[in-house]
Amino acid sequence: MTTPLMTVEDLSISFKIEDRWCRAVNGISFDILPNETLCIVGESGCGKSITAMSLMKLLPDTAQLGGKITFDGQDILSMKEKELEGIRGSRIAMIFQEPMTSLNPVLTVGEQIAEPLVLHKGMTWSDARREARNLLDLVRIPDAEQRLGQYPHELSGGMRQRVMIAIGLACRPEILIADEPTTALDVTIQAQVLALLDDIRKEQGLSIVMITHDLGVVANVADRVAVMYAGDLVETAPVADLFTAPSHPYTQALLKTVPRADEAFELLPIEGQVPPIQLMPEGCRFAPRCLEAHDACEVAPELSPGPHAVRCWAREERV
Amino acid sequence: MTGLLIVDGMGKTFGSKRFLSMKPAYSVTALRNVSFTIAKGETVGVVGESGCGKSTLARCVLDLITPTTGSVLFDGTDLTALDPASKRKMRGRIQMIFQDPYSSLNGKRTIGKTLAEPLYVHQGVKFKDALPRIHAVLDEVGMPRSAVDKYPHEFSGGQRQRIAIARALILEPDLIVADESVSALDVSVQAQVLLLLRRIQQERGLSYLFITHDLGVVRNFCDRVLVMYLGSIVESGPVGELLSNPKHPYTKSLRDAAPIPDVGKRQSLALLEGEIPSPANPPSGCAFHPRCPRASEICLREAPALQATYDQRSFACHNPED
Repeated sequence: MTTPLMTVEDLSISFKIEDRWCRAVNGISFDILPNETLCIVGESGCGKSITAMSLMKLLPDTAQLGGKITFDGQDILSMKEKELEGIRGSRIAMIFQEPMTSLNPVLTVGEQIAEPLVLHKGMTWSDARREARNLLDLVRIPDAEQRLGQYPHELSGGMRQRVMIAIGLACRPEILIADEPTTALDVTIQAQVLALLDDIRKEQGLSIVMITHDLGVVANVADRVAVMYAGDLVETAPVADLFTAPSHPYTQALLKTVPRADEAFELLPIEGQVPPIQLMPEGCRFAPRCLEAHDACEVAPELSPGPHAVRCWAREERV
Repeated sequence: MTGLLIVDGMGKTFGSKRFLSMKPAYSVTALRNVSFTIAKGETVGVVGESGCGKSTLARCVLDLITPTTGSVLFDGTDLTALDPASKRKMRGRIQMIFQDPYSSLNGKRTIGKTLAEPLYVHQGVKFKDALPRIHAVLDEVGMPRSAVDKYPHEFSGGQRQRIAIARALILEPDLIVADESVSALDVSVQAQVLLLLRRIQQERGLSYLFITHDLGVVRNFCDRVLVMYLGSIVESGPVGELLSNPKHPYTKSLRDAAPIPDVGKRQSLALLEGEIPSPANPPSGCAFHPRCPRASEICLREAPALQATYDQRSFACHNPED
């Protein structure tokens, strides 16, 4: 078995709401393997974005963290700010959903791509600028030389996202975390950006952690998938297994709610909604919406071992 | 089949006059000669990338933006030729649901007040007389009657969209224009709302003009679909036919770029190069030719006309797919 690049063990993230600690992420564990695309998928409020943020310890001070995130033999969660600076942006980089708000509107594209190179690699600005030009070529932005001097508002949404990717890749990170990188884009542009990320992953040998709510995107780009619901990791599996043999009732239900462009079928909504974080049920958090819930679900099940892992009592006998 | 809504040759040009600006005046054609009909009880979808004019189309149908050219015939009456008072009357029969239920509901008003307003504006019904009808419509969209005294922030996104639907339904319209009405919702909630909209349609026999960018939603919810590119309809037809056998290369690219949640159908993704051109500076000839894999010399010179074929289908292309 390949050694994981990063190991997340029993990660929990809590926030204080009305004097009570509420667990937004409820003890999740997963690995990130070298040169793979791991998709973390789930609906709003399932904790996928803060999980992604925690991989670089990019969380507000008000968050209480538990568990362990091991990267290169060190625990990210117990690192000091100074040590984290050596990792953030250089060995682990992140790209966000909305490139308009995450790019600085008053700096040129060239300056923004060069900045991490100057900060992390100690390059001179002129060397960094030359490297920035190569990076624009890498993300397939035409007329790179001219684009370096442009500001974000002069670019289209797709181009801005390519610039974000270029900034993320500047220091040749080992892990690229992409939080809904294509959600704000049109489908044709989304397809271009996803293909670009996949090509870069293969060329540079990096690992991508992609956060998404779109199961269509997952089916097309993932090697492995982690499904989250209400702060729990409910199922994790290689992508083919997840789609051909979804095992958790939530995963199964979710797949029946996604309308497909290639065939019409009777959509089966999941009744009810994700409970607010202050009112999370004891035991299995999906139980109130689960058609297969029974008495045992009052106690939270553990994630089963193995590559296709499920967190459900009803699946215990099968795994 | 008679048309409830007949849009004929609709066009919209936005212009800028020179005012305190060094730049010359310019105009942008957002809609170009758009014609279609919606039958009673039918759902017509409009798809296309951002900037293709689909939202402008929705707004022009309601005359929220006045179209520059063309006519909108609703139940036999030309909306564009009406005086303001009669137009207001007709508008009660066409209602709109917007994308974002967080901004389309007034946060300082109770749900009851929000639902009572259309009744007051269009029919002069007072709030306390409106209550039975508000209760009925809340029942219909699956919301508790206690919602009447609550405010929008007390509800989730899906519940708010139900309230927005209730507001559109309360005047018993014949046509609902839905602009990306399920796009902001999570898939499990999106499915709930789509099923609700369909059930209402079956019970009331109303029609939908359904604007969306999601081909999956179109496939599962619409009867017919119009595909738009840079302000024009490039292809239209019954949904199943059109998506399984697209004639316009743009429709095909759009379909092939839509990711299918099925590993068996994992595609090589990037198919369509380039981005939608600026409508302020459209390409010559066919607007799609710079991105089109099938473009030939004639496409650079001449814009293809929308030609009708069999089975209610039509497309505008010099070199259609087989």
